[in-house]
Amino acid sequence: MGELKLRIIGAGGHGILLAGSIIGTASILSGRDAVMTVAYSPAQRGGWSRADVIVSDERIDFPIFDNPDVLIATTQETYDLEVDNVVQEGYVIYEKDLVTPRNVPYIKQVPIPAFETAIKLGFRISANMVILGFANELLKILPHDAMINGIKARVKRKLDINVKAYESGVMLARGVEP
Amino acid sequence: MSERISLLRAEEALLRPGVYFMQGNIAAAEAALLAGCRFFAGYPITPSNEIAEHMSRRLPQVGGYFIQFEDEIASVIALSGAAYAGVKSMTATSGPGFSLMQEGIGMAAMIEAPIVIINVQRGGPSTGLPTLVGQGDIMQAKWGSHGDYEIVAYLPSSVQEMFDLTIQAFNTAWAYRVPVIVLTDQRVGQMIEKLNVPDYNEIPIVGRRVPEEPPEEFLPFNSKYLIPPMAFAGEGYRFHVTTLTHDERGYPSTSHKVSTKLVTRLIRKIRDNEKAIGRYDSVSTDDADLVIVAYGITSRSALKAVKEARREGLKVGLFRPITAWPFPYWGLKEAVDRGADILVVEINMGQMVRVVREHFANIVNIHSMTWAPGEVPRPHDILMKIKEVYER
Repeated sequence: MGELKLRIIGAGGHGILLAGSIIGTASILSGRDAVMTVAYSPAQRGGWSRADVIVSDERIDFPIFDNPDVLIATTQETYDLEVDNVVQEGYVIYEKDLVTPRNVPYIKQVPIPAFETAIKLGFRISANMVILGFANELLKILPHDAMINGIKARVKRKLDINVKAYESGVMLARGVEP
Repeated sequence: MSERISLLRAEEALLRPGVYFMQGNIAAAEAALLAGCRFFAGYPITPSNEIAEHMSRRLPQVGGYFIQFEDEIASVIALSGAAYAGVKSMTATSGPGFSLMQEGIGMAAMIEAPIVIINVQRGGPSTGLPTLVGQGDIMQAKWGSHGDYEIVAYLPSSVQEMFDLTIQAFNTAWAYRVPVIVLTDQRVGQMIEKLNVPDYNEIPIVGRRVPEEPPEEFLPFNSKYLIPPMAFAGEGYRFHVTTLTHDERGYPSTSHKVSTKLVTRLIRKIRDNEKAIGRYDSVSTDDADLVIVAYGITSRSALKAVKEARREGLKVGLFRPITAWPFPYWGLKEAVDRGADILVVEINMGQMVRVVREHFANIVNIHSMTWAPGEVPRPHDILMKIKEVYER
């Protein structure tokens, strides 16, 4: 796998930081290294939050990056803010119902109906888990078991439905209707 | 460790050995609890707040006490009181709060109270950049209070070091009876990274040196010791503590002889032990023509720059001080003897470079890469400077 720089950004309440910490935890629990830095918009309410995560097979020298290999954006505002920062040949995963993508050359852009899927599961706020499952299956970031362990280590309430949401994301990435 | 502290130690409530994905500030708080800290006094300030918040929740669980004071001056002074009552104590703050604490740091140095202060540096001067990184408190950590005294300051560069060096800070504070500062920065304090908590028996814990004399013969500042044993209040030892210049009994004195004895000892207890206290790490310095000196988050960027420079065939190494004070100058001596240039990279307008110059000016070329607070120089920025210096 080498080293992957992942930027997850969305509205406050979308579970951005939890998603980032699950990948980070999954990475270290499976013997890899990981680091996460977080940033928020200045607004106290209605602002965005951002998790920058690096996962690596080797020890990470420098925890900060400007250009992600993979961008996950759950709102139009955060998509617009970050889409031009993605590296060439990089990936963008965006929330299908909230983001209208722009044409950006040299990057791959993939929609995900994360909220729609989570609402069908009866637990709207598990959309972040749907995205995690989708991104990890699509990009093969970490082994499936490692991610499940990461979720178990981080999610304190409603673990079952969160795992189910994650697995729905995995199925979406495989082109299967969950 | 005193009976009093061991009574408060509640092992089952401490962070268990294992691997965690944890924030630096929280790792420092948990490390303090493991080191035996049972009193936190503080006043909220970004970007150190996670430490106080975490301690306010965790201290009651381990039999300790948390007090939010009216300001930083009261907070730091309360630490000395707690130490004299036999309780390991600490606070956490950032630039503006650290400025207010200088009075109490000088006081702790004078009365030889072992206290720990975590300063999560942000951009300055003044209230500056509350949420963004800075490394501008290097000089203040050493020279912030008036008069002649010594402190120890550690420079963590990872979450693991936030943990390890906070424990070390308590051990050094209690071994030498000095204020110890964990001089971290916003980036290291607030990043989330891998933390390995070792088995408890692998974590050395240092307590006070207990007085040997019977209470009636006890001198609290007995100059036959470089670091006098410490009696706690209420143990039956007769002693007096004053911030005025004091004799071996602790009573104020204006005698020059007393002043000489006291101030010399306050200085000597650190200077005579600088090599036991001072620490550094170095990477690829053995054959380096140019040695980068960088610490905290900047050392992480410099490490990447050094690796890239090596790939390009430039003989560059990294020297990372783990203690700012005492500055581990002896770790640079071999490179200096070889005639290597030195480049100090720091998020300030050139503070540690002054210390490097103090030791090695006129012997080798010493260069400074300054950087305004708010951002961390990227590996690319440092690499450009390396090339500029290297090709000169």
